Amino acid sequence: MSVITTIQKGKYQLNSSLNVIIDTTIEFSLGENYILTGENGIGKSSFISNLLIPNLSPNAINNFLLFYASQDITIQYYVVKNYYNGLLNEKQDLSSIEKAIKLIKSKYVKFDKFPTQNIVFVLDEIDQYLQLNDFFQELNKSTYTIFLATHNEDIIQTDIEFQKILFKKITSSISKIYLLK
Amino acid sequence: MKSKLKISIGLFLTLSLVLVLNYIFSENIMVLSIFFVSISILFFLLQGKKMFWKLGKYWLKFALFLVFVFAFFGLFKCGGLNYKCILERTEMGIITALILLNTVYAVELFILSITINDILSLNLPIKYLKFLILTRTLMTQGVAKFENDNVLFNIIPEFQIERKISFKNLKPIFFQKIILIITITFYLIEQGEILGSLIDNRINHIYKSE
Repeated sequence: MSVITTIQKGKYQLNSSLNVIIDTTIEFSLGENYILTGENGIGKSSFISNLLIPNLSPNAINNFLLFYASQDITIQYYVVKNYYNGLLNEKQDLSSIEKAIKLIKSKYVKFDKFPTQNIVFVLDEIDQYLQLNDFFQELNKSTYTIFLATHNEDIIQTDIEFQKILFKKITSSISKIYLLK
Repeated sequence: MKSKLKISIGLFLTLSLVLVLNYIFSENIMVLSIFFVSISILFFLLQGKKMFWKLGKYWLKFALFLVFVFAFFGLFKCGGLNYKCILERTEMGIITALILLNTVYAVELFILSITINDILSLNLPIKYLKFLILTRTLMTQGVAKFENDNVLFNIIPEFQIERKISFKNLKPIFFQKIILIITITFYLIEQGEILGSLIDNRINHIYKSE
């Protein structure tokens, strides 16, 4: 399985008040799935936006598309609406964020301008907008990797196997990340 | 008193600079450039490296795009490859971009230097204070949200194709930029409505309590 990104061991500053320590270098591979868990405010979203996403540069050379649904999903919702219904005049039903996510997912799956149809999904706590189980069920045609940040991993009922990325608080400003295989 | 003085001096300097730039030195590329360098250094020193790059990244790209548009349409205005004429059009584009950047940086520097406490100390009627608080808050939110604009905008798969700037790629690149501007506008309008009604609620609540 090809490696999509590697995060070297070390200490990283995620924002002005939070650092993370990674004890061993972590390799993320295409076709494997990861669930990020840990208490609220421990740095899951900061890890995604400041460390993971900058290391995932989607392009034809890397052979994958990056589907990043961030916590700022309302902004992305406007982008989707303005692009498909505004500029391209597609007249899609985009009356909710859930509908927009479903539409954009179908666009990713059908996208044929890269040599392969590999997709890396990074879903940052979007459980409130979307039935994740349905979302996962429909993902059978492409090769994909999922990074899922959630507070409530119990709601995930799927055949997809996830490796756990566990966030543990060391001090109020330092968290540690473990990849549990 | 200190806050009132700060706001008064800031407002006076910003308005004077903008007026001087737009009406007196609007043709002088050298003065505009010197002002741009000075205001950039001032912004960097007062607001820090991070804020400077956040705004710079967005506005510099926009300014470069503006220069390109002037040069491109110069081709039509000049009736073909008349280099002297195209250079003149490009220079007009650079001047317009510099006036835009200088005005934006001066106004942003002023707004970001004012805190909510400074605004509250003005003792203006609440209906005016509300708009000042809203402007200040939207400004901070807008800057924070669009820090990683590329990452958020790349939700559209077509935007993930790396494109070199060329005539062939003009349309998709233009689409990408226009979506950015439209989204910022819609986002700020919506946030303005939400925050505005929250402030109204708070005002009503306080009046009722009294």
